[in-house]
Amino acid sequence: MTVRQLILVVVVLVAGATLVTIDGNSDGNVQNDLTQSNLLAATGIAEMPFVSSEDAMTTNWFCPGVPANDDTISSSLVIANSSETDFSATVTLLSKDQTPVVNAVSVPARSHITLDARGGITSPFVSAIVEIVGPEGSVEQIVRHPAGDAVVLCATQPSKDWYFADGFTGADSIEQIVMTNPYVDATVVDITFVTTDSQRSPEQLQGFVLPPNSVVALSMDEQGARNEPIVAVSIHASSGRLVAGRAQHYLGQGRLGYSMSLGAPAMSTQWWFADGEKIAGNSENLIIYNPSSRDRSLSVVFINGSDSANSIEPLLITAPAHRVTTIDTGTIPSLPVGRYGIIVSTNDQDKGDSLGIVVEQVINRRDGNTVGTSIVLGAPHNSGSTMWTSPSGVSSSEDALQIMNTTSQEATVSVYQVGPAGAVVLGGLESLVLSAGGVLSVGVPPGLPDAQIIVQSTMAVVVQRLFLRGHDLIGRSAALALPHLPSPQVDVLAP
Amino acid sequence: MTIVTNPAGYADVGARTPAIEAPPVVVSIVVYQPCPWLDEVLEALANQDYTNLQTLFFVQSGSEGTSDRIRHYLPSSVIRQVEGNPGFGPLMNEVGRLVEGDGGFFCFMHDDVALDTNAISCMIDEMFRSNAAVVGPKMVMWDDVTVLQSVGLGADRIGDINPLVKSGEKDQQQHDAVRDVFLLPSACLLVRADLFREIGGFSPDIALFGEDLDFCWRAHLSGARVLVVPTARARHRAEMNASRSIATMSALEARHRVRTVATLSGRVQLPVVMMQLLIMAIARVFIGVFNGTFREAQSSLRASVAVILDVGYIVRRRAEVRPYRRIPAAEIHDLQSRGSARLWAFIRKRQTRVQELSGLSAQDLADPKSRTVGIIALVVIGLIVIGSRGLIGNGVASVGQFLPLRSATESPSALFSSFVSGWWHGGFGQAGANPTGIALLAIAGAGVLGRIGALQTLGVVGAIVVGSFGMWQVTSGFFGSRARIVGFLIYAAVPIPYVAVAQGRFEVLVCFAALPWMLRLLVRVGQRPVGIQKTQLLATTILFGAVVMAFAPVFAIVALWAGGAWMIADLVLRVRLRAVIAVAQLLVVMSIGAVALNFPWSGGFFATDWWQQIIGVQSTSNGHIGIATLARMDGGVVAISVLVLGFYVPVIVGLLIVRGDKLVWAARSATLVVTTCIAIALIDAGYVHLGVPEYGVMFVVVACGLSLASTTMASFVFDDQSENAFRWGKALAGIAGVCLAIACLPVLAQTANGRWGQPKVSLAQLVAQLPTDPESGDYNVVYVGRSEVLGLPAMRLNDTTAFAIAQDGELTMRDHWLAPSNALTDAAGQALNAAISRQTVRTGRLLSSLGVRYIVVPIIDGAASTNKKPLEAPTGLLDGLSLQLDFRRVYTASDLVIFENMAYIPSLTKLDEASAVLSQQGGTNALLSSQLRVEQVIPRVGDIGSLPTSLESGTVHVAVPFSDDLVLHVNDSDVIPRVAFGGTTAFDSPAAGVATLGFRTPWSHLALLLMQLILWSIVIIATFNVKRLKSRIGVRRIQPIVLGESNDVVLKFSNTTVHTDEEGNGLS
Repeated sequence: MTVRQLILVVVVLVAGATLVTIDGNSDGNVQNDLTQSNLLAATGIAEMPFVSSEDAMTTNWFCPGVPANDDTISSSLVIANSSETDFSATVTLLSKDQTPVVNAVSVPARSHITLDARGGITSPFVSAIVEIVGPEGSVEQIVRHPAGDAVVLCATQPSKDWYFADGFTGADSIEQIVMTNPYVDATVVDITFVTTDSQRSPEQLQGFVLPPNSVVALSMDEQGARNEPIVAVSIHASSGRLVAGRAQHYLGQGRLGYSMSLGAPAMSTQWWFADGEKIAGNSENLIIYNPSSRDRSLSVVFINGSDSANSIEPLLITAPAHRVTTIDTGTIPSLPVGRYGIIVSTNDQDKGDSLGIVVEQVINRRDGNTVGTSIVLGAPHNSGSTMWTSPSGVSSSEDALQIMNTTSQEATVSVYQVGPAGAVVLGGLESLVLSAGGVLSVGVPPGLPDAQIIVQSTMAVVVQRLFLRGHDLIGRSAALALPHLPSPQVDVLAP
Repeated sequence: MTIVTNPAGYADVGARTPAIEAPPVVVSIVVYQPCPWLDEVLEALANQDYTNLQTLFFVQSGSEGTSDRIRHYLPSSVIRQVEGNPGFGPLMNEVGRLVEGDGGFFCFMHDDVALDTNAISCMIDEMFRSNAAVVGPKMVMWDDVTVLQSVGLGADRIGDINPLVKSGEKDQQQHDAVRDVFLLPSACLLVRADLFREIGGFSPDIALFGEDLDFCWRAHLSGARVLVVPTARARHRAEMNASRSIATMSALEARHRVRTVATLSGRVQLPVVMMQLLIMAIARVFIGVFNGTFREAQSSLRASVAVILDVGYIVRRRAEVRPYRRIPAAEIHDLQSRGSARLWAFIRKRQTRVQELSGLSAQDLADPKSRTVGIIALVVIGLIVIGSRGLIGNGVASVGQFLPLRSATESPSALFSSFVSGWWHGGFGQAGANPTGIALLAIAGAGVLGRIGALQTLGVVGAIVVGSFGMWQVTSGFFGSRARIVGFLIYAAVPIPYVAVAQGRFEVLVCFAALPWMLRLLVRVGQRPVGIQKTQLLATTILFGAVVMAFAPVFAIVALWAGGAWMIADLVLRVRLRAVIAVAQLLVVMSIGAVALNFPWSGGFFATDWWQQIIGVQSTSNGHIGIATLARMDGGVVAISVLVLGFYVPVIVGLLIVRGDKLVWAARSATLVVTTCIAIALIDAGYVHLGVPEYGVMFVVVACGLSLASTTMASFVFDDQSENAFRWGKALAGIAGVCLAIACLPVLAQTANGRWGQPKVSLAQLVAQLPTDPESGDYNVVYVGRSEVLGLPAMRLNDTTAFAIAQDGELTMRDHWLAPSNALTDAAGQALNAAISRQTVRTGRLLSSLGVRYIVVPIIDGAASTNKKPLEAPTGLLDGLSLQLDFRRVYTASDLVIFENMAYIPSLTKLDEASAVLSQQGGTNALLSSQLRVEQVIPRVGDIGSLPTSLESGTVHVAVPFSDDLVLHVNDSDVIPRVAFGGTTAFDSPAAGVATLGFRTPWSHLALLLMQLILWSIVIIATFNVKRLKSRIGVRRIQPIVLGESNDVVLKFSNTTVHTDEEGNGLS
């Protein structure tokens, strides 16, 4: 064998060894990628309505629907434009068995418009789709019910799944699941609900067809959930997608009032509530729905910055599969009176099933013999943002905005109102200090013009709004503000 | 005048015979080179007992000694010097000119024939007795007069010679009866001079081999008898043939035979005879594999096919023969052997005439090595055919890139029409040059007489054979046939082509077929040809590259890569630098030349997305597979394919054991394999982020390396082993051989399938549910998903997703080529991206002006993605599309999802007023905010046309890229187009009337096509040495014969003293 031949053989052998090495690393990479991929899939960033911080061709809002066959109930759509340019929007109203009604509207810069959400249509429910060309604009709907007004978030996209943790048909209360199919195709859904005793999947609710461009409302009491204190609902579209909301009219058994809310389009491993409150006479319940087929170990953490609430040990509980677990915070003796933030999170690692749960907060505010019930869905994992918006503004009250710092760093918060001059900070509501992991209750003085409100923070926060219920009713109705996602970087608050 | 040609001292004929008048005979011999046996020949002539004998010698100039020797034996001989080598027949024709007078005889002889003393007189005697015109002696072996060589020859209708004696047959006087024969060997022919002159002597176009058949056949046509006279005996050395290779003889004999048959057969019989000729030629190829006469059979087949080129010659020659065609062709056929002389010869284990004339024994010719090689080749081809039986029987399924050929769209006329039109049908369609491949496909279609369905099967199955045969050729001239057949076998046994067939990877198959031939060109250029040979080689390379790139542009990259690896090996092994430079030069010339020949289509490569245009969209499944799996070359689908890794063993073994020049080959093979595998591994592992051709294409380079490695190792075993002193090398080679044998098993097992795993039901059949040319209007379809499963060339959308556009109707081969991106494809891509990134739920509106009605998402195509090993749809694609408000799900299954865009407008419509106004705006906002409306649908026909349709005034919109050459004829006027929606075309027709859409082919396009044609012609001329071809096509005549000056007497036929025999009988 010649020297050259020997060199060639060595080179080829080295190349072979290199190949094996590369291959080994490749396998590692695959493993890593797979792991990350699994994690991403499993973590499943919960989707909630949000204002996109990125450029988008169109911004679409799918409102869950308003009652449209009762003249005592009025409703409106609010389309806000905080940008420096006008935009046009197309509003499509969907109802049952009627042709969609399409209207084009123009929204001037730095303003908002309010439209009749019924659009003159008579139908059990009417849902609106608002399509805005461009990335700007935010939309929500308001229902003015004799039993209390409700500000309702609109979804930014239809989903295959919807969950409602809370449900109540006690004392013949009315609970309606409003399903909107905005597509030109029929959507087929399977509906399951959980009561105190069991999970039920009525045959008539399996393969339930939502006709194209239609709105269908299901009264849960008619589906076999009459007089149930617990009615959690999950909807899964086997074909197509939908938007689902829930209308509740409480008539007794500790609950009174009217609530309309958008469902949770996905489960989440964490749920954040900015307005936990332990106030004398009020009751607060966390309704935890575990739609998955595995029991979940959960931690419930109460936070309030440096306040004493932080000293409370996390509450560890197990949420059984296909069941609803209720936590009455009033029964936690170590929980101090006052406001705090609540974080409900799962402790489980992935076991081949979805990790998430769905959590809603129910507060019954009592004043004498009367009660005002408010329900709010928590902010899911990764929804913390430095900017939140309220298209329809806020009620003038001492607790209009509840802000929770989701980070371990102190934040500075300012509240702006969008007017002809653009976003202007509200007097006294600038550069408010919010401690790490703390909560802040922001009051809004009376006389504030009806306009879009923007909350800006130097750190990621969760913002919840408390509205007066109108009609001189006691208590509050609650709704999350709309986060701007991905969370914009805010180093210094604008003056 | 009495002429005594022989001196008394040598032939005392005068004393022995009384002088009577005898017909004069001029013996004519050509002596090219001094030869030791010439003395015997001359002495035999001098000893002839025939008195009126004159001799004429043609001696090649410069052979002075030869003339002296002739004069020594035959002092009165006429000797003429000949310039060059004009050939036996043409030179002998000079006899007719040099000898004056009629009434005599010519005796034409080779210079290696020794006549018995009475041979001439016996032949003259018999000629008169039988009233023959052509006679010949019994030929016996030179060294053993007891062994017969020839007693005349038979011939069948296709000119195959039928020897009347067996090889080595002893002369027991069993053939000593005078008899009519069809022809006599030209080694010794006695011909009546007047007949010779009448029929024009020997064919002037046959220098050697076959002149006797042609002459005797014409003699028969003129009514003359051809006899063998066994009493006249001649010894024959057959030196003229022995000095030439069998290949040369075979080629000449076959060509002359075919020409003769075509020229002399009767008009009525000619078609049948020609068909018979072709069939027998093909049959001989198969028989040749077994009896070791493959090369001769190959020559025969080539000659039979090439008769097309001789049409001009044949027509003229038939005209020349016509005047003396006195005997009906049917009678001539009666004289010929029945059936096939060749077949009978085969059955009787006889040798062919060429074999006889070559002087080689049957044992010599039936080379066992050749037979083994032939049988292996036949078995391999047989296995390929058996493994492809399902494809051959039922056709190739439309999987992957195997788009069907349809007579409506891929007929030669349709393709030519499309090619010339200047309108490219692909994608949304656009004004521009069609791919050159379309023209080549049309030519191929014409070549198979329009049987385009068969063309596809032939192409798919044939690619495997062609590639394997190419690998056989790579080392031709370097290694023995047994070593080369190993390379052939290994290349045919790698799984790549079969996986390509199963998955419909057209480009992989093309590269598999072409790369070995490219390597062969590298070998040839490394031998540094000069002059015309170099020009021919370069032209061949350009032509080859252009043809392959016309169908698979990625081949350019593959060839450059393989060439680079080749050069690295040569540099490492210190092969002459000039040879390496020549290889580099060849690669550069091929790249530039191929692009030039494919211009104007290749002009699309000079764009920002040129890399994508050439290599296509990088397969999204190409990642993190692992080289161990990839090296199996089938994606690791079949467990047994792990055995394929055995093919890699000879790479290292070859390097270890070979010596000398063969080390270069071992190094080349190792470089091809190692560099490519490392590149694949790096890309697969994610270390290198480059768009590369799909792995199948890259593994073709590896396959070539593996095959070369096997060939090199086999060469060590078969060619060098006897001289090799290293026994460990033998052991290693044995182990590698076993590994190779095992590695062949997976493909062998695959033959059982019959379709190489190709699914019978393809995605195309599912997509066929979409309506074709519906009344609701023509439309476009967007295919989006992983590039492997799209079925037609795609454009990149993002890292994991690609998309392609097609018009309604079945996807066919015309859709194979990726159309350059344009404003419409950009808009479609933008819309799809918006859907995937969830920027809008109105993608349907964005696609509406593009006429996109269906969005097809293939997931499982049965080829690259199967039920067992599915490739998931790109993340976010289906979700994004499902979100769209205008999309209706038409078909939803695990293998395919089809959405219908409810917002679409047909691709040719008259818009309503609002939409017409909208069409004047560009950008997406206008589309997003409004729904387009249609007033009237106009049916499209052809690539870019419409049926005449009555229209009111208004705006007609066509969803094709804007072009000035589009025109809407309304009544007798043309409406000028304008840009609509920022990219499409609209016509604002001011008047009502009958409207027709059309496209005016620009003159510049025609000029470019003409230029392309000229370029192709130039390269073809340079490749095929058209000068030679022209001489072949034209009526080729031998160069004028130049004879040197001579002072010898002028030969004349005149009365002379005729010697008588001892009894006083004159020789009449």
